[in-house]
Amino acid sequence: MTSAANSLRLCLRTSNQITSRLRTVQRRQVPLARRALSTSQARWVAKEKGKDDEDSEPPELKYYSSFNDPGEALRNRLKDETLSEDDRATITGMLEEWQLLPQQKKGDAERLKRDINNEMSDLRRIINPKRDAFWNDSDEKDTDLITDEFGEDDFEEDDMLSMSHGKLEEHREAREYARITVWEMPLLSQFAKSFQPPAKEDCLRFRYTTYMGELHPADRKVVVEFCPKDVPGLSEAQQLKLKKLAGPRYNPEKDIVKMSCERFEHQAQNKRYLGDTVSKMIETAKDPTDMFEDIPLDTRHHTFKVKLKYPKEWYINTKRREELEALRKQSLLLDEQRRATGGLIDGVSIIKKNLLAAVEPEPVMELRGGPRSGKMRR
Amino acid sequence: MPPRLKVWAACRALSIRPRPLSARPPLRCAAVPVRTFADSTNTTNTTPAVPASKLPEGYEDPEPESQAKKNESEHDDNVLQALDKLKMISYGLNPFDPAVEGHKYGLPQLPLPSPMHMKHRYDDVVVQLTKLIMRDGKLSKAQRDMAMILNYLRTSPPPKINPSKPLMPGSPPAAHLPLDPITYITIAIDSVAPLVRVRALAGAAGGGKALDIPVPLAARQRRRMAFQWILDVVEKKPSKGSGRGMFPTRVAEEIVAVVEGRSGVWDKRFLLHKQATSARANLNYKAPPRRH
Amino acid sequence: MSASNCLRCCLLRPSVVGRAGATAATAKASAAATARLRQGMPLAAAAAASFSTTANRGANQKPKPGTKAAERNAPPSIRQGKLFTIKKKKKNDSGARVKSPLPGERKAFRKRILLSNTNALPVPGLTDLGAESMLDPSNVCKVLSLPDDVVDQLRADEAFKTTQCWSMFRKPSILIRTETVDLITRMHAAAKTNKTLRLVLTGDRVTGKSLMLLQAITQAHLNDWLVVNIPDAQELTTACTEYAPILDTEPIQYMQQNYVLKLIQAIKKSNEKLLLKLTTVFSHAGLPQNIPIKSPLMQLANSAKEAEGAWAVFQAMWQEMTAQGHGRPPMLLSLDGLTHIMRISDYRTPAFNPIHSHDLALVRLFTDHLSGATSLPNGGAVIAATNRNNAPRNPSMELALAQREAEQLGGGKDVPQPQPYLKGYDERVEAVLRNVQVIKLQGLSKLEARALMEYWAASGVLRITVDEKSVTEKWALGGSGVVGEMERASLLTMRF
Repeated sequence: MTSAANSLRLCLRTSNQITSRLRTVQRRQVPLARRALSTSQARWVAKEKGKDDEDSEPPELKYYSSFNDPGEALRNRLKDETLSEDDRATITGMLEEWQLLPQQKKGDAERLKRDINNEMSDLRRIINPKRDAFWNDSDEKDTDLITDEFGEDDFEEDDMLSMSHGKLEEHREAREYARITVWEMPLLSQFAKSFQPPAKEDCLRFRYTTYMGELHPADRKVVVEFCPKDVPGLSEAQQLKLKKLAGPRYNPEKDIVKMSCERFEHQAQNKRYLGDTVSKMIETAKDPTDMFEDIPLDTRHHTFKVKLKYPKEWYINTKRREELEALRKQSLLLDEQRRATGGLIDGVSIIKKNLLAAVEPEPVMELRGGPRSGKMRR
Repeated sequence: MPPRLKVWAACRALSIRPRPLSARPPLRCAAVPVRTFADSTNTTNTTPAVPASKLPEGYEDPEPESQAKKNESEHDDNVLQALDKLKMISYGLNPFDPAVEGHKYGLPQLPLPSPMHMKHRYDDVVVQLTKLIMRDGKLSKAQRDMAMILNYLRTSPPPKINPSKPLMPGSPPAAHLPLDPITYITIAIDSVAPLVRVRALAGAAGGGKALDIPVPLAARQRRRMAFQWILDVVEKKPSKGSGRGMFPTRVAEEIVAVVEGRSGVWDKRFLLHKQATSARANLNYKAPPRRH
Repeated sequence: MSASNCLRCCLLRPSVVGRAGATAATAKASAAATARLRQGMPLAAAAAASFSTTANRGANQKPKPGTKAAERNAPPSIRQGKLFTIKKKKKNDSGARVKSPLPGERKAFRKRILLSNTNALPVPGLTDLGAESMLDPSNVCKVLSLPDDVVDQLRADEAFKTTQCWSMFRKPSILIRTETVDLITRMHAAAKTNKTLRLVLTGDRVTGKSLMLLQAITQAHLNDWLVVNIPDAQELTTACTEYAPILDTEPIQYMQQNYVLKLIQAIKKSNEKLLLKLTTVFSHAGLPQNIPIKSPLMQLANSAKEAEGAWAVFQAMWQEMTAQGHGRPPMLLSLDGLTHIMRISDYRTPAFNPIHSHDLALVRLFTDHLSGATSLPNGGAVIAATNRNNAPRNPSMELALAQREAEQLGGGKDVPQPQPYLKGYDERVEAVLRNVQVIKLQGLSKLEARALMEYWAASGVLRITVDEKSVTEKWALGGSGVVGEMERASLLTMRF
């Protein structure tokens, strides 16, 4: 209901007459700005007598007169002397058109106006602020508030729960993306380019980073990798010099030089810098004046990882199995031979045999500084 | 109530078969899985030729000669094996020895011999003494110390046993001890271990006095007490040399002293036994009923 | 304190009495004071102020020895506050007085070597080593015992170590390994052609390097070689023995007279027979005693009685022992702990610069012979054994030995190269080890391990049946037959 009234109000906004009336209504009900905290009741400022009468009269009384039909309104408009020639001509044209309209259509306009008036009656009603009402009164409705909090959270059994709304929202989202997948994504294939493997001359591999449109301090970083062997037109010595020039950027295990740059603000600048540096390095490597022969390649920055592998000789296959079988057989045979000839040595039995051979006489109980015999007997 | 005879129930278990099962000729097509593809065009050829090897047993092959021969030889082998087994039975052997039959490496010896068992790798006494030597949870250090003790006992000359401080009855002669250091240390500890401890029961003697009551000890408790006494003596002894071998040397020296009857631990034992003997009258003491 | 005494005290001494405070005045003290008064003696203690806020201290008063205990027991002045005093530890609270060992006794006990265990069973069929038995390949995988006189000589040489298990067996015996035969054959070949075998024994921990050295020394003694053995090179370079610069040397060298004296005595003892037989051929000046020509070398050795002059005697002895053309026997110069002499020593020059080990004269003598700069004119061998356990980091030695080893195996490409940026390489070390032979000891073979374990079991110290199963078990526990680890696994355990 209220929404309909609102939309109507928006439709009729251009009408001077109505807005002014609304404005007067607003003006009337807005009280003066109050103090944040006050113990005294708010009152209207006592007005001076002379001014009071002038102010209380509505300044544009003429707009209060209403028109029965647009023709009347247009005629009334034409009475205004301040109108420009163009406007006057337009209004005159409109008036002529109005008069040419059949009577039924004119009645329609009449009805429309009546309907609008009915609808607008709520808004036009003059609200008289209660004199002794206070805003913290529970019955009072604060009209300044944009949302009507009263009873807002009450569930009146006429809607889904918020969880369901959330679920529904999820479905909507999923469907939206599904629509995109079905209808818009296939269009991307128009932009597809076939993959061109890098040519032999393209020895530099650049790596860029994107954060999908987000701003990130690392999105300007560019990394280049290349193998000194792949750089065209370098001799062995020059390659070695290039590695030495690269310093700790050279990985001896992978034989790759890796450099990065994030010094400049834009990716392209960084890439340009890297390209320049690499070309400078290659140029220097080709320079025969000093080939750095006295300097050995430094690999201290790199720790070589030793990857232990299960020895191939230990794999169990038929050959190995036979070997093991033979070994076991041989060792069993050796043991058996020893056992047969009595050469198998058993530590425990040897000790027993030797100790039994040297039998000692049992120690005889003798008295040595012990208690006296009398005590012993007891 | 006697059970009723249920004749009909017995009849229900009977099954009457007009022909033996094996006499039924095998179905040819049942054994051949046939699969046709959805897009295959030659739908007419639904029964492909069956390879001879896939034919079910008993199917009459037009050329069964080789197969029959093979079966025959297998059969002969089985017969020979069976005869072997019968022979074994006649010799009084078990032809289906579980230690041999069905096991690649045979069955383990049960109960497991102690070196095979993780928790019983060492002698019980040695384990207990090692744990008593251990300080700050350093077990491997204690184990090394124990090994050194045992080695000292092995290398020291046979003990001269003092008859007034006799060892446990049934102990081997002194000359046998050094080459069996575990027995050596066990005998030393067991010989000097007290049989009882004297428990002082507070307030039981009346007038707030404690009453001494002798309490028998279990074997493990006895060993612990004896070894603690030995360790007490060892702690007070100065070492002759330096280095990590000194503590075990002192312990081993004390153990030799125990066996030879020179150690002060014997006096402790005698004193305790004397005290227990004098307090043996208190064994009749019964605790008064608890008052609430 | 009785009231009358107190009164008298107050009368006598108007103020607080000196040292211990008036509150502590005992009856005895006051009586003594009255006695003094009567005798007309001055009261030194009475010179204090009648009233004072400071604590009393008798700095210039000597307490009487009799009153000392009384003073200590007296409570301190209230104003003095509480003083924190550390109580003296009571010594020997157990009451039993024990004799503390004399200086050096504990070390001697630690270093003592027992070579026989009377409890161990005599091994049947154990034969003594002969002069040729270590040359015979058929003796590999056999345990042979050391003859008694050789044992004495080895003891003098300090070739036995405390970490070896000699004390568990009846008689010191050794296992002949394939490496032994290899080493002894090389020694013989060198001695025959009057050449010097220069060799380094290396290998992982407890693989038997020192024992291999002992076998070499044994062989030298059995064949009547002269033996000079430096048992532990650590003693030379860890600054634990005295050193002095030798004059007229450039760059300056240092002698270690105390150590040299000890070495001379060891040489004397171990080579007694030979030294008695050999006679001097040179006249030596500057010795503590005048040794005429053709007197036995023993006399020369005996002339070193004190550390002073020991170096000169050693030089003279060395000259005599290596004299060419006088029927001198071959010589074995051996050293254990090579790692310690291949580094900068802990000694310092007077300017506090570190001294390189090779600037120590005795070490220099050895390294010169090892590198081949000087050779033994009568043939012989210079053998050094590395040590792993208590070894300083020595990259150049490691590298040099690895290189020599790779070269011996004939691998042209696999010879390890020095790392260009590694610090700590020493050129002098590389120069010494540039041209030596290397024997790298590894684990025993199964047969050798079996022979050794059979010896242990027959001696009664290994209470198991020695069959292939137990041998394989111990062999595997010992890290593929590393002999020391096998020993640890079977002889130094709680299980027998």
